[in-house]
Amino acid sequence: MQTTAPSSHAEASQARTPVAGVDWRHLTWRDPALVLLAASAVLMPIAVWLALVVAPVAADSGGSAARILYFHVPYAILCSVAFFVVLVASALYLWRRDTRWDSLARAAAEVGVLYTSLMLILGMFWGQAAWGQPWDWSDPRLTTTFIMWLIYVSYLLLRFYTGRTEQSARVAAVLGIAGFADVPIVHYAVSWWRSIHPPTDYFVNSNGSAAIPPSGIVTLLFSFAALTALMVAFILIAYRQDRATVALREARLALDVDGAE
Amino acid sequence: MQGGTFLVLAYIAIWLGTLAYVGWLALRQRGIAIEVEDVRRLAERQHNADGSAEQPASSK
Repeated sequence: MQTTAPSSHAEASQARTPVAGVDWRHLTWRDPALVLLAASAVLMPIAVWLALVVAPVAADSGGSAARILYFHVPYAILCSVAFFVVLVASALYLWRRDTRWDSLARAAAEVGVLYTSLMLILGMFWGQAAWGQPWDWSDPRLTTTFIMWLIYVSYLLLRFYTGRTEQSARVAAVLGIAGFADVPIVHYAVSWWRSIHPPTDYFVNSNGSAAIPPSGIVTLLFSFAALTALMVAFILIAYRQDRATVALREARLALDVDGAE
Repeated sequence: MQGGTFLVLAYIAIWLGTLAYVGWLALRQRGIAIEVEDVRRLAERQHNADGSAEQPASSK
């Protein structure tokens, strides 16, 4: 999905876009967002079928609800990846002062929050089945993950309420960098403190061999690939929308200046 | 089926969440397209105003 946004008076006067809705004329198979969405649409039903039917179930982890694992784990890994993109893009924005990095950080934070929310929801259903309660505030993995979610929700709220000023982008970039400090804490929480959450080496035996059968590993790979394709497509679409919004704002400013002259 | 209900509810919840985000992206895309059209109309109006202001000078 791509919308052309005029960036100057001349471009604005030449722009030819439909009155409303998505400009479908811009959709071609060379568009990486469309290719990724199509890849995800193909991989996702296979991943869901594998997770619900084929993959093995650990009897001591909530019975059938343990199949939640095959989406819960990829969501958990990918939200950290999205927040790492926020970290890198925010640092590059502060260094280069190029608003494209700011747009990328904003888009990645949005998708990171979505993936964290879905991961938490899946975890709560699994927790209810396995532990008899959806949440345990005394658990370090759960609490640090909730703090991570709060940090990036605050990031998005900051962006929403402070507008598109340079100062707002700078403050958000600092939060995007500082906020990432919680991500490794979330990862190591199960090793550093006592936790009811399964450890990070859940899939590996003490002798280094895989703790789940090959069908479980294949299922994880499929769900990971499907959710990665979807995440990159979402980030790309959100990034383009943000660039279009920036270009429209500049075009409007240019037109206001020309009109005043 | 132990935990089966939670499994179904969990999958329904994540698909609803994903679809809600797709809906949000589509709404924002629609807003951008409307804004593009608005800016284009404004630009055309200014362009026409500039043209009519220049016409008497060029006809001399």
